[in-house]
Amino acid sequence: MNTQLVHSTLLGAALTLSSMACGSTTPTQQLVDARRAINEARASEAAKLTPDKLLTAEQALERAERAHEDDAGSSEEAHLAYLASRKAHIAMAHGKIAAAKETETQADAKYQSELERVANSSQSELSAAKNELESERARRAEAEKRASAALASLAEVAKVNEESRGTVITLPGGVLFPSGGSTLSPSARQALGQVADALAAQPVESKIMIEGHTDDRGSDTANQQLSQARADAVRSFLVERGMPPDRIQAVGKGESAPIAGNDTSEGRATNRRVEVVVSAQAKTAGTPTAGSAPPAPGSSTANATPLR
Amino acid sequence: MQWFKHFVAAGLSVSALACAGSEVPAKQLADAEASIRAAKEVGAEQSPDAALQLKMANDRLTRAQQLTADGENENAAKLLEEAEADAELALLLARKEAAQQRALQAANRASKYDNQGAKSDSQGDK
Repeated sequence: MNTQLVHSTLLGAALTLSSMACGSTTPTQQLVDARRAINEARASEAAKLTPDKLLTAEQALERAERAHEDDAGSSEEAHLAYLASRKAHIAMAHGKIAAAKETETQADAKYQSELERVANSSQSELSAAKNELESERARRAEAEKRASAALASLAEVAKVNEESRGTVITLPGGVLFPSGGSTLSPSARQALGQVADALAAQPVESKIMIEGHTDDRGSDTANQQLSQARADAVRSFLVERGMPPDRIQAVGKGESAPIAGNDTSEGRATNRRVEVVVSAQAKTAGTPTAGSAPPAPGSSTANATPLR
Repeated sequence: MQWFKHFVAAGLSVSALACAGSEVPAKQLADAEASIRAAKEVGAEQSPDAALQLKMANDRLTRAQQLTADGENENAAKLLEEAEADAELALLLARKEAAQQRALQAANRASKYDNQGAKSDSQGDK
């Protein structure tokens, strides 16, 4: 009985001792924190980007673990564990800084290449636009040259003047029609053929007005009708030669707009005429045309001598 | 009970040795102060995370100074080491914040440029 009591007492004491021993191996809160921080750091960017900093933290934890083994729960363990935890957080911060720098470098490289791409593309776009503009200018200059040359070639058969209402091609009536008639003679058709060629070279947006004029001999009504018939005949011919009908109008002016005195036969011959007025609608009126007389509406009336 | 007396005597002598061996932790103090200064210089006071660590460093520094005044140099030295670590973390958190800010700006610049490029192109056409 007695020995049994002693035994049980000893056993109890032993249990107490061992439980005390267990209590003393409990790590400090600092060591718990440090272990967690190290695990966190191992899973962070630091493992890949700043392994040396992680190693420093791991070594600090090892020191804390040794202090724990030597004297669990001691202030030394707590101190070293705290330092290890700081080192772990420092390693993580280093890792994040390295990651941010990597991101920045990549973004800068992307920015750089974007800049270059845009610069190159706008460079090529720019040169393409320049080329287009250049060829457009050349095309326009060529067309203008052709139009001017075509009009200038008319100088053989007609008088060409620049007026405010447009380019006026004056065809003497004597060349086009027999006296009192409105049928085009073969020589008239030849002369008008040249006019048609010249008109065909004009810009498509220009409008063409055919005006028939007579001298003051005969009745107003007859002159009106004759001038209209002659203008119509010229218009028909031009349409026949391929001019778009909607671009050409014909009007008879009769004797209402003489350009010379009707008292001499020469003056009357001058007044008997057909005028082809080319007005550039889209362009400004009185487009300069090489080879034509300077625009002087008044003066053209006085010296409108038939050209032949 | 003889062994116990020896043990106590040994313990006392060890603690006496510890006391005699520890001097005023001047180096640790200087290191901690330098680290705190460095953290402030990189703007640790402006970033919340860094500011918290900086405050902890300053608190530990103050307590260490009190301990030194009380002659508890060993504990003061430990506190100063911890203060230095706090300040170093504060400095790195401030740097981390700045680096992340720069990375964000660079990313924005890179992505924003597409729109700006398109915009300036269309302006060029007009």
